Amino acid sequence: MRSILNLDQGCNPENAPDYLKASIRWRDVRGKMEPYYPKGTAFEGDQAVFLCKTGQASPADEETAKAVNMPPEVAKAVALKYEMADKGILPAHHDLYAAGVMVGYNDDGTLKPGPNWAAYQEALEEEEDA
Amino acid sequence: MATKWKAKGCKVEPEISSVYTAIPSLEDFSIDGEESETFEVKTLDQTQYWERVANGYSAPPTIGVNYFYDPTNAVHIFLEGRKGSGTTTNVKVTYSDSGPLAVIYSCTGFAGTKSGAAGDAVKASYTFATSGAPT
Repeated sequence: MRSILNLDQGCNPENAPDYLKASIRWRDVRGKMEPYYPKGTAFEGDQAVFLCKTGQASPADEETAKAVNMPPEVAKAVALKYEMADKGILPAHHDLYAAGVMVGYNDDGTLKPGPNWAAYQEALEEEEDA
Repeated sequence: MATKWKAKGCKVEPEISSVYTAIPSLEDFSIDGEESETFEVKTLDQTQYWERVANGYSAPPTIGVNYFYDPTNAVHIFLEGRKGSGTTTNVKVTYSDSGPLAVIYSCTGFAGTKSGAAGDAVKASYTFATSGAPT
């Protein structure tokens, strides 16, 4: 069974199985080198299934998809939920993120506009005018 | 002047099979109880103020998280399972800013409660008792 990581994920090399050690990359985070598995890393076995169930990975074969046993729309929702958790999106802003209105937070805590930000602002203004 | 870091964008990630995995639907977190320990010294020949003397030990903190509980979510299920297993687990707390900063704690104790009130979502409160110094 195999699955493919949907996004970069921090890792602990000490506990990494042998087959994953070559996949580990390092990035500079404020002067400290931190290990991570990059997006696209392939996982095997029960962990491959688990990562699909959390939304961190997608099945790479039929056997994994069968073991995960999630309808496509549920799998998509779970992956989106995990993406938001990984970015630290507050539950109160989940709907805005899912709608493409925001993609994260600016340094001052305000919403970072997404592709649908303008349309959302227009809709808000129309609601106020009504 | 010290920079103020926003709570939005922060995450708490237990290590699951070498992968740091963010807890979904996190509302807030706290890191509490970390302190250097002292003992009191009061002697008959002391002046007004008695002393607090460092005993050479520091109490490690407890990480607390509150999140909207989803009994079908694999990460929430993992946390529930930790309460029964007590397996030592690393937990990474990432503070978000234009460049994030992360601290890793080794956790040996796990506890949690769940609650549901009329008109509100089911929520969980969970604590990780840490051991040793964070890295």
